[in-house]
Amino acid sequence: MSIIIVLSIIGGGALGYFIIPSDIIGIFDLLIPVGLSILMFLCGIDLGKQGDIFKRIKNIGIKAFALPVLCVFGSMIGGFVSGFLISSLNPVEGVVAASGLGWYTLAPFYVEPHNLELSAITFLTNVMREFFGLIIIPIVAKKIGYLETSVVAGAPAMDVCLPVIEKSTNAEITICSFMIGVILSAVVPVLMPFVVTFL
Amino acid sequence: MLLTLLYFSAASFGIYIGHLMHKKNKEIKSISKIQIAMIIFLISAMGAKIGNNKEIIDSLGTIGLSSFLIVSMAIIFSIILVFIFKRLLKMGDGEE
Repeated sequence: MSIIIVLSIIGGGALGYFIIPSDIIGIFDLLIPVGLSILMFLCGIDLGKQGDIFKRIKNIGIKAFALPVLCVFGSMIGGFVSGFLISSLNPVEGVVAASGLGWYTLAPFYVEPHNLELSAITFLTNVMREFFGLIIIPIVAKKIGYLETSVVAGAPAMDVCLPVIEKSTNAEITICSFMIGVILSAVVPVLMPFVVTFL
Repeated sequence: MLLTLLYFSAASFGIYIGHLMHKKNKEIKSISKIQIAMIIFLISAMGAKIGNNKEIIDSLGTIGLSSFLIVSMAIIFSIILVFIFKRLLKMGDGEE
């Protein structure tokens, strides 16, 4: 699954860079939501076919609230540590970039008024989180555990990465990941304005 | 927000259809193949959008490494915290 995803990213990237003209690329702004809706519908069928969906939601329990907290703290700690590894950044800037939790169309806009270069880093960091999430979720599921897959991508766990989570894990983790993604999506607009005050 | 609602609605409708199929013991064999095809299409489309954005591609060299380090650390520490949490609470990976 990871190889397919890597090849898709590279193939799509090459198509977009070398072949597809800029005035046509906008059509993907329509095709992507349509395609993702179809995919979410198909994932829903997979989940519904297993039966007892409400029992599975009940089984999730504390995980649905604890895991977003762990994802936020893990991301911020990771951002803080990376600030020591990168000479052109300080730990606070690392925390800011990591606090986007994968939401690359929102997070950079909180940073832009303070630091243009950091907003570009924030954008790239969160784009990478979504793409790397797609690639490594199947590997994390196999080598580490299913539960850990739900915090890899951050907010995209609820949409773009959900089909990959569904294929790599089980129904309960898929539902859990969706709930975690929703909670993290609500956290980003609160977390980002908070962390940028420290810049 | 609207898109989130759209995806949630699509998934919910799918869950309902799946539940009906479960009750009536019906199966559609090609769902998995369609899913994989859609995943390939979507990821390629996203890759194409990024590839078409010359500003992002040009900046990959300068800020790409910084971003890569930040995201790697963020993912690694998130996984570590969940791993510890799972072990402390003796939690499993959910029902199959």
